[in-house]
Amino acid sequence: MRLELKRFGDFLSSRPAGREAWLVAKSYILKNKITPDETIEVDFSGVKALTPSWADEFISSLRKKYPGQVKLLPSDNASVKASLEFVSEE
Amino acid sequence: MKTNTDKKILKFIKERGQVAPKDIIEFIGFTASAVFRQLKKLQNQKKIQKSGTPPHVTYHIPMTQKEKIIQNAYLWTTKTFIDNNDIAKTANLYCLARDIFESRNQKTAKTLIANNYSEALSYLLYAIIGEIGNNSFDHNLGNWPNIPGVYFTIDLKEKIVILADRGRGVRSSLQEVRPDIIDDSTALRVAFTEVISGRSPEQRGNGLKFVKKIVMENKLTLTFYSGTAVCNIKNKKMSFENSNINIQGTLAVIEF
Repeated sequence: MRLELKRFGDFLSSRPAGREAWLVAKSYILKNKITPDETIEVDFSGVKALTPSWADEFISSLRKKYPGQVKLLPSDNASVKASLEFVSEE
Repeated sequence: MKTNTDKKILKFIKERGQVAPKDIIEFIGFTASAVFRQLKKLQNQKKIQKSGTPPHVTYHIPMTQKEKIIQNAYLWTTKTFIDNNDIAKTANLYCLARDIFESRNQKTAKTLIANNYSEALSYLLYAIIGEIGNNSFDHNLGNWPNIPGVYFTIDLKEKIVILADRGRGVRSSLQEVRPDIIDDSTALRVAFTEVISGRSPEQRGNGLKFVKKIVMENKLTLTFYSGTAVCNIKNKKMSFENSNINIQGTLAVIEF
């Protein structure tokens, strides 16, 4: 499954916003749709700016819920690349 | 009044940086009208400037536009009492709630792009402004000592962004999890170099490390005050010093 982050907005900042996005993704987008061997591809295309706070709330939670199934797709966006350096690995 | 009174006043103002008239009157020990005559004379000689409106007037040495912008934020941060009138006057600078701050931050990124700054730099600035400003909300929510919110302004001509809050400050936040931090300088050093969050049990606290990285890699300058300490990041070097000003919350100056 490809999870497009742009559906949560093109400016992704703050912990509360990241937490809200994760709760929505968990409940309405991912629930009952991901098989144990399926990869979730996180797509950053269309995201203009990302902060480590938003990324930590969303991506760390996603990785925790689906260990070994999350793949972050490459991005050319400087804020995305820099923020992902600060999101803890699985 | 002795003829060197104006020199004494000028020296006093230089030493203090920014002085209320009552402090000058108290220091000199003459009548208010005599002191105001001297202040007017120094103003006419362009040796000092007057800022603010009664009852919040201060005198200081002449400042550049950039210094004035910083000074206004400093005054907003340190003024002992802020009333609705003050808030109304700074309504275009003051973000009472996080969503107002977010909206202004997005607008700032768009304004930078409209003024021919690269998208990459504009969005990186958005990200570090977001981290610093949201830190103010994250660490003070429900616990603001007096006025909640963030002071946020950008000046394209001076290429400067200012963020300030009247919150608890970095040391107070970190002491929740690191009671061994006993001074502001250590607190800033920890905040900018160690992965730690005052919001225990969160194992987080990367915001200011991210800010440091972006500032260093993009030839930006950051001056970050909290308490009596200041962190300077310039030319890829970071230093921590005692500051000559005391900020209860935080005051960040980003130059781009």
